Amino acid sequence: MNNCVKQTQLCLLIVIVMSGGKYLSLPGILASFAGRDSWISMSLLFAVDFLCFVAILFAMKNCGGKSFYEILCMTVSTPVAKVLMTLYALFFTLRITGGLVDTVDLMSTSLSVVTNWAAFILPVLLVIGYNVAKGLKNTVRVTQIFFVFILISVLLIILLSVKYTDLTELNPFLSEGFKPALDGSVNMSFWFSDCLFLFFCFGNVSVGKRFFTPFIVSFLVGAVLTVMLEITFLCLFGELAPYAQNALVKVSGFNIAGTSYGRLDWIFVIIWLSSIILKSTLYFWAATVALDKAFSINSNKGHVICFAAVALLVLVAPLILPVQQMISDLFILGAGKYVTMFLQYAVPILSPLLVFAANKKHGGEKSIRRVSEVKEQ
Amino acid sequence: MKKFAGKILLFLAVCLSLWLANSYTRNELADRAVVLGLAIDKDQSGFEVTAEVVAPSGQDQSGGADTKLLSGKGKTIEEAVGDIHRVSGKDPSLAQTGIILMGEGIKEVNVLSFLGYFTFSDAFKDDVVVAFCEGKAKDVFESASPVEQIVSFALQDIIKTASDKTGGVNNYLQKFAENQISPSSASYLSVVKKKEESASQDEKGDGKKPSLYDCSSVCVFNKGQYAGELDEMQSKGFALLSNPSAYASFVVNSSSNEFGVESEITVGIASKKISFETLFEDGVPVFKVEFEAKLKRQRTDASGDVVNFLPESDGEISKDAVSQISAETQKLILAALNGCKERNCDYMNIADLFFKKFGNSWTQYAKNNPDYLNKVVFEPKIKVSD
Repeated sequence: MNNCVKQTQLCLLIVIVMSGGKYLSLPGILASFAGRDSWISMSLLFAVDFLCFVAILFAMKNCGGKSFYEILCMTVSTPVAKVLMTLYALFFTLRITGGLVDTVDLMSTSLSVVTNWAAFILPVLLVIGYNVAKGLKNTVRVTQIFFVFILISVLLIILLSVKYTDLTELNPFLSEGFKPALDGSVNMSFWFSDCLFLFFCFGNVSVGKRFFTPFIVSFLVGAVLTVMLEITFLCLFGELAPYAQNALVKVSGFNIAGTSYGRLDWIFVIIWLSSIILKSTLYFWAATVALDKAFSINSNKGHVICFAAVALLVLVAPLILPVQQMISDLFILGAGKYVTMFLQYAVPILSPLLVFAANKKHGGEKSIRRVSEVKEQ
Repeated sequence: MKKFAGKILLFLAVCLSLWLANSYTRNELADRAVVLGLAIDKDQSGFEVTAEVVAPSGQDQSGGADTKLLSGKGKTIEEAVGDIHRVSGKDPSLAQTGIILMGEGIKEVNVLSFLGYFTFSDAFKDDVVVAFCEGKAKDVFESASPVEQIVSFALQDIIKTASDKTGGVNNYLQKFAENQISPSSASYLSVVKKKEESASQDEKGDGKKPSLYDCSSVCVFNKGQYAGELDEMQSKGFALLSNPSAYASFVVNSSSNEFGVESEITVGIASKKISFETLFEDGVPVFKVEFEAKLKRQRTDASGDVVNFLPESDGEISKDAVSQISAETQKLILAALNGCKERNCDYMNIADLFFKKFGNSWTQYAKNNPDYLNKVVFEPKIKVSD
């Protein structure tokens, strides 16, 4: 696996990953908690994510070439590090499964591509497997190619609907107080913290002259785009927002071209769907690497087995379990969200301290590698 | 084993491809009936849904669209659509539907009881035009338009596109449904009335005589129930206020026309600006309407509707004509506003606007004053100029 990536590639990936998958069932569910203020819930989640993101960046900058797993082993002990890696692998797997189940739903109901889960997921897994085997570098290169098209399709989805958008639908602002917005944030936190994959990029990122600025800009672009999509959704659907099962198709269906051009929006939907595949590839890679560390696997054969284990889980779980309902019961309405919050927020916030402690233990080394210092793994 | 690895892999790939190909529901274009418009009628036995469909045969190379009407009956809309599939053998595909026309039978039903079939579907577009018609909606679909081959397109042109220029109104599915569950609980639809059949012959030889449609009337719904049709003044006033791009024309007396004789002339609204303000004065809700319009004399090949930022020009309309139009506009707007009180139907979305500004204070007020429409004071402010 070649996991060495450039900062610019990672920045593009961050923009895509942040918006990918957040425009399926999430807006409708968020609206059921917070109503017209669901965009505030989303903004709040992104604000907290931003703090965690900056903390991860600090940790990444000062990791001294060590992987996040090595840092954990040096600080919290190896068994705890292995448990955390396993939990992260499970977290990413659940995120992938939930997102892909929503995607097959979208394809069946909107694009009339009706198939069973296995027939949908197997080709997707083959493509993802190939990319994971090649390493993160392959994924970021694909992202570079797709980035412009995905960005244009997102902007066009917003623009196609602007004629019908009524900004007054956001009023009254916080009519029920701040609690519903806060409830929405707390309950839907499972679907955020998209940048956790950066933990698995420690020591593999080559940067230019500036470290923080490009990353922060890309995060803000991703966040603003996603919030704009959410606001567009709310301004279109108002009171009906909680009933929309698939925001992407509902919003894109407001077609200013009228009857003559048919469902022009489907083109943009299909292009945007590629961002979900990219995100799933990224999370598969992160889950595989996490499992590698959890079970101390170093050989290529071992990588394949880890990937196969994750793929098998993704393939089989929806066939025997109601995954979406489980995610809703456990991680949205249930206590499982506090476990994932630990992974999503507590660990990132503590990561600079962990890095500091690891460096102090083993002597401070040089910071992140520059372009000329990157070696192929 | 390594020698055969490539062949084994190829064999597995072929098997996978075959299995994948068989794992998708066959949904060939030729097996589908692409629905362009839906006519919904209701009688005692249930719903009758008539769909204007394009059914690709795969054999016609000549191009051009040929539509057919397929009807289905059922106790629910879903059953009626399923009946279309049963009797025609074609799977109705509703993703391309552009208009839903509801017949008079819908007056007896709460529309919210069946609109969910459309609004909660991911495949169905939410900006589909919705309209009401006199008589049976199926009869409208069975007639022909003299200018457009496909009835669904003809109706959409009249209701959606042309209404902006001819002073009509149009509403679309999502807004129609949402307004029924908003604080105002009321919405509106344009009414399609078939005018006398045109004198032109049945040129196509399909048994349909071309008909003309009038879509200038408006009917209103209160909490999903039909609440009546607005009269001409109320309809015109409502169109002036509800649609920012709908224009209107006025016939006024002019002391001197181009030939220097006294006559009536037609003046159109070239651009307009509408704003609403909601406030409480001494505990009484006040609904202020500010209406500003620029006028232009209607001439040939010009309907008088243009965009804003018109250049200034010498007055071509007399001051007397302007004041006539101002008085007429005031009457129309007040007619539309007072129509809410007469019908106890908040189709002007007054409660919605109050709620957006005052939030729960308004909710509390409306709860304590369910007859808030009778208490609202209207203050229109009209400013027209040429």
